[in-house]
Amino acid sequence: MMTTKTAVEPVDPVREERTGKVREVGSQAIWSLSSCKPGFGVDQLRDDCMDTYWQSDGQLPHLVNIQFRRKTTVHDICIFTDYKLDESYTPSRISIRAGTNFNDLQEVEVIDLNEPTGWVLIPIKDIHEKPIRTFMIQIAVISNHQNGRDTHMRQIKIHSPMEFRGIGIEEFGNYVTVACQQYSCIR
Amino acid sequence: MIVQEPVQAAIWHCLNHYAYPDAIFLAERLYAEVDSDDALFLLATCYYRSGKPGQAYSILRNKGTSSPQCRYLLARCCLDLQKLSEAESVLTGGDTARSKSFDELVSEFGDQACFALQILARICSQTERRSKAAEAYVQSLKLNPFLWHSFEELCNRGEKPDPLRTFQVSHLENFSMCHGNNPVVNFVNSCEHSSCSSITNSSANTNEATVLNTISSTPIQLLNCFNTAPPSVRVFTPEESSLANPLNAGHSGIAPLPSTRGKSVRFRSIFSGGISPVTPSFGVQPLDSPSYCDSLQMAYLSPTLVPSTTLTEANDQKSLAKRVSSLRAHVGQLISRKETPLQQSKPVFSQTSNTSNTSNIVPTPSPTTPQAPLQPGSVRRSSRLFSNSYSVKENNKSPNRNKFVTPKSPSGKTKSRISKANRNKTSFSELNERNRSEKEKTETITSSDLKIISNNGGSVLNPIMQALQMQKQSSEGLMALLRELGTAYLHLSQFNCRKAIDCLNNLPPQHYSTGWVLSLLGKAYYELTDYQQAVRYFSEVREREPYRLQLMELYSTALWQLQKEVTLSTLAQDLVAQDRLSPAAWCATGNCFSLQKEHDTAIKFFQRAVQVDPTFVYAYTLLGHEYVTTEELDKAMSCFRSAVRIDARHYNAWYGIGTIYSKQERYLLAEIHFKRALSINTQSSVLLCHIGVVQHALQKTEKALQTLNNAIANDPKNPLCKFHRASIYFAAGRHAEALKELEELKEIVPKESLVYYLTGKVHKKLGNTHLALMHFSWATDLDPKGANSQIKEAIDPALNHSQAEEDTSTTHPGEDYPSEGSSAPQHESSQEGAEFVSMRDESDESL
Repeated sequence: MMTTKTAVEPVDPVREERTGKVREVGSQAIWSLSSCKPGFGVDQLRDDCMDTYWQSDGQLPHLVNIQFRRKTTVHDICIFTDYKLDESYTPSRISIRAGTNFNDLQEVEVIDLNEPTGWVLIPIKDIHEKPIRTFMIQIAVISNHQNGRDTHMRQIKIHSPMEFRGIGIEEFGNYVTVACQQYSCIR
Repeated sequence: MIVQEPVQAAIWHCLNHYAYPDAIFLAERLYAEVDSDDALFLLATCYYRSGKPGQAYSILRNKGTSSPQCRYLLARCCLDLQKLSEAESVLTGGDTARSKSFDELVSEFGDQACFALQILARICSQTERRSKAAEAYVQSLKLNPFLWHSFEELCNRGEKPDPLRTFQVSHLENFSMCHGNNPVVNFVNSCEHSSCSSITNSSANTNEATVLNTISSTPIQLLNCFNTAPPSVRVFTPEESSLANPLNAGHSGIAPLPSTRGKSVRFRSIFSGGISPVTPSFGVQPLDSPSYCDSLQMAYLSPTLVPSTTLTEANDQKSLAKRVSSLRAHVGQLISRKETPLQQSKPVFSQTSNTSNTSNIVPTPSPTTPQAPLQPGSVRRSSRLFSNSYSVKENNKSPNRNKFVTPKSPSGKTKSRISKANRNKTSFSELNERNRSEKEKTETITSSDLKIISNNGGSVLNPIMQALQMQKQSSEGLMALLRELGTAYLHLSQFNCRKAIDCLNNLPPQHYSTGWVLSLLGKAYYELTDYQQAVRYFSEVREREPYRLQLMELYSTALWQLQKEVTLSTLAQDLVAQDRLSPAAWCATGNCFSLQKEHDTAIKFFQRAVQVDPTFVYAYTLLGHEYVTTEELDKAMSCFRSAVRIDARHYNAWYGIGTIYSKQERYLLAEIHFKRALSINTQSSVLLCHIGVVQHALQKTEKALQTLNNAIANDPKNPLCKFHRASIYFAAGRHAEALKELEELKEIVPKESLVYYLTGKVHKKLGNTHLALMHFSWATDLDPKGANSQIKEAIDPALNHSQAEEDTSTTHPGEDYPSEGSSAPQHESSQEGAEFVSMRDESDESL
């Protein structure tokens, strides 16, 4: 399955997390990069700081591999890029691939970016519009703006949908009111 | 021996005044000089009390001492240092294979036996020997019914000790287990060697005459013994305080009569005064006044003092009786039980007149008291001797004893002040700040002493028997209170929360309004999932006793459940600022972050809670729940298992294991674990609800419905039980019942989107497309963010085309529910949810 979209609405992943609907699971994964300039690697990509960035150092496509220790539900991926700062380093087309390992990756999403500044949220859905469950996510930068060769990415976040508190309402979703939520579990 | 005594006395003196470095230094010198068991014990005590169990352990271990008091202290140190097997072998005599029976232990440790048994019980319960632990606790309670903690532990372990039988003093042959051996007797006996023979009233072999003769002088000298502390001014300033409590108003109402005799009142205020400045010298014997181990000393002292008082009081008896009766109206709003002591006080007075006739004891203590400071020699000695025989229990006693004060102010002044004071209200708030039980004890003692003396008609029979009688009567008040508290605690530990609440509500007001009782009430409501009430009580505890940390973790969880972010955050801040080593503080902080959805941070704080106290069960459970939310189920499972390992009755952890299994869709296992939790907390509607859901998932629909019916019967307020019942009805095709249930639910939780969603689904199934869409749109209104993407799905005709076709075939045209138009959620009264929803709306807009 492959869909092509142009840039998604700007969002703030931190606020997303605060609402309690998603949570960041990137910290549970092992991250690797196809290439990087020394000092501009995974640490910079994951440090919650928008001023530092990952800079690739090689041939296109540039890859970010995210391997989970267990099958993980991925709801969306948030990428922070800034065309104003990075210019030709800014990716223009990104492909998201999922699978169990490097050898069976399948493309689930391709998006085109047009001079993005800020967070880009890429929802990851299967054909039933449900979040996919996967062991591995690969983010591939297929092309950059102005035909740039290397790419800059400032932050990447992987979100998993939040499991509801309590049990037994799988087919319904979450309770909305405190009156109900307070009865939904014991602590 | 005599040479080193002043040194020991000095050391005890330092210890009693918390000058630990001095005490340690002196004890080390003494031990270097005199290599005896006593000196060793003294040194170890110094180390232990200054918070160095490791050092105490080392010296005791190296010396390999055999005296019971040293071994007891060694066992304590071992326990503190988590050397359980060593502690046990120290107590039971090294041979672990053939452990001694409790009787042997008792005979070996004498009056320390109850504490030794407590230690043994703790060891046993930590090493999974539950029955033996329980036995040891029971035994220790039997020896010393004052040991509340033993009772508490028994309850916590799931035993059901009978509080009515436990808290009795009548079976005690003597109080040596509770108070230690009589220090006065020891004092006297040892004084026989020295020349100070005047104090012989308590030794059994002295004849009556001597007793009577010596009595007049006794108080002074005994006072001298106590006179180590500088006279406290507070004794004579009861008027500072004001009394909020009607019962005490009663006290002070009676008290003015004797207070016309400045001397006598003042004399008693020596006893009450050192400990409690506010207590009227006598009057009502409070049934619930706790008395602790040191009551004995005072009980011994009082008879010598009281006669003079009672004499004078006897004259006023009639008017007093009147006052009592008039008072009763005033105290009328009190619990009826409270009145009995008032009535009892009459015979006390009438008999005191007998006392005056038969006994010629008219010591006028007031002129003698000022002499007290003039006799420093005996002071020193006696205080040392007391401490000497009492090494281990020193802690309880010393502060009181040292506060006994020789009154200095002239009697006239005292008189006026005290009578004034008595009219004044005495403050209970001030009492609260201190160890109030200690204070009230004096109340009991003085008044009961009166009674005893009068009963005996002033003739001194067997002083020891008399003392015992006296002690029993005076401790009866405490025992009555303990019985009530015990009943409440037992109910709570069995999760009969409503009964526990009833018991606690019946407590006398001065005890009801303590942090301990209020936090127990909070816990009881918490277990009933009535978080609003729980928060109310806990916040009252915070107000009254902001320093209280016990059970505050439950407060934080209740706030978490109610999603009160601000209060929770304040609580967390305050608790951490107050004590960084308290697990409750870190649990509160963890809960705070968990509510902010910062689960990783929350995990860190819960780990800290575990770190500061590895035996704190609840922290493991909270950590487990946090791991469940971050879906690290393995870690969560190990946390819950640790919790269960530490306390098998911690039902929250069993519940946690159940949630993990149900997440993994292993419903059978989930059911087993939920039921395990339920077997501990049998009343929990939330647990029943979960079991019902799991049973439904296991296709046991009938059982599930039965369980849910149970749950609803237990807690009619729980909306989730009804919701699940509705959804089971719906799944079972009983649409009419489902709709009825949902209608009721709309009344309870008018803002809950899911209720409308489910109603919509039912209507859709019934083919009432219009009603279905109406409900779906309400559901979307209430949850605009669409976390429940199912709603969209349900509305979207394209997605549901096939399903809709299928529906039409099963529609029952007769079941048409046109009535819902009135219950549009927008017009519902604002309940708890209203604020929340509107808050969410705002935040959504601002996004």
